[in-house]
Amino acid sequence: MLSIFPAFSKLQGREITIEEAIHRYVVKRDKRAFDRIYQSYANDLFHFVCSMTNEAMAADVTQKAWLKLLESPNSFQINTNLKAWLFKVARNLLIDELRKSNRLTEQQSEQAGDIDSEQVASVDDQLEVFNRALLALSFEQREAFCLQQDGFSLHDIARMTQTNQETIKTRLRYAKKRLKSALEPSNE
Amino acid sequence: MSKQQPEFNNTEDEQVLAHLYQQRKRQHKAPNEQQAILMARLEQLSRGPKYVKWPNVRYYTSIAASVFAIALMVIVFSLPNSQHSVQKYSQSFVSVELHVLEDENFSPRQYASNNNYREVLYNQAKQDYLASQQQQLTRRLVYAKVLDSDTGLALLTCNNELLQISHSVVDKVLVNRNKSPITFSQGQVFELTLNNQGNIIDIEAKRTDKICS
Repeated sequence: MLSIFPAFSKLQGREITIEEAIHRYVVKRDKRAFDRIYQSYANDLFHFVCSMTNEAMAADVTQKAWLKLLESPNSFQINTNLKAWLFKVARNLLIDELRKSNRLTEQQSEQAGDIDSEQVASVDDQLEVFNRALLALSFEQREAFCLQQDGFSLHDIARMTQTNQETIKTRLRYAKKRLKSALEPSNE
Repeated sequence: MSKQQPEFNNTEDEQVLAHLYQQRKRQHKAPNEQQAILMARLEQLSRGPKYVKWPNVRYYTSIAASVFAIALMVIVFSLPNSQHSVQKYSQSFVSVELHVLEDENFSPRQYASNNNYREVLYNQAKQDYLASQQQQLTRRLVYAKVLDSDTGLALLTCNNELLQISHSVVDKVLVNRNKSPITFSQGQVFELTLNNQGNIIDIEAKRTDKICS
């Protein structure tokens, strides 16, 4: 991703940290600070939402999440986790969108089917298999797995999904089991 | 593998999944136009006022008071004079007839009885009443020649005094007297009838211009 302010990300010979950027943006609405924040989190955020829905909706949802930060920076509390805040805002926006289109229950009830081992054996691209297996997970399992992969703790994931850590652990366990079994070559 | 709940303590498996997840992430990057849209919006927001100030109530109150005072002055000074009066009127045309009692101090001792005294008081009151009525009926005629009639009626009296009467006053007088509108021409002589208060109660054109002899 290109930065609009490549030269300005550096202050006195060093690049500003993400914490400094967050502070500067929230307090002073510094454009360079926002650029730094965007560079740090935009791809992760987009990918997470993309894993939960289609690309078009993901683009719309993530843009709304960023606009919320732009237009109401005071809705974010400094010294808390901005990445978690962004992900939570995006998740809530996504759920609202899915509810509007009556697709939320569809997503949640989607159960992972066993990937046909013969099919897997014929697909050389492990990444492609992984992609399909990930999308075949249920909404909650996929969400938990992606959030963990994006660096969030069980505590963070539980807060963002408004559930408890034990539930998150269970979801993670089953998500990884399904993914692993999808990736394993068939045992004959 | 056991069909019971599997344990994912295998760090290699975890690493594989993490690696594949990061690979997947590289396939789904945020669209470039999103960044442009957000920066444009940020630019727009930064151009606006940073703080929304509450309006200065005292300032706007003083402005409103000043505007009100000016408006009031304009209204007061632009109010037309509703009386049928001449703008400039000479004192010489005022005619006031006064009835002054020759003897205002009379002593009751001069009268033989109470009846006589009451009769004197009655006569005095009657005379006062008649005098006031007489004042009301007193009228004065003024003859004047038209000098100008563009922006009102400018007249020169026989005593070389200038009278200025607005067209609206003239129109009202004519309406009150049930007369047709008059066309004024320079040099034309008019007879103005004034009451004792100096108000014009009639206006009439004269055929001769040799009134002031």
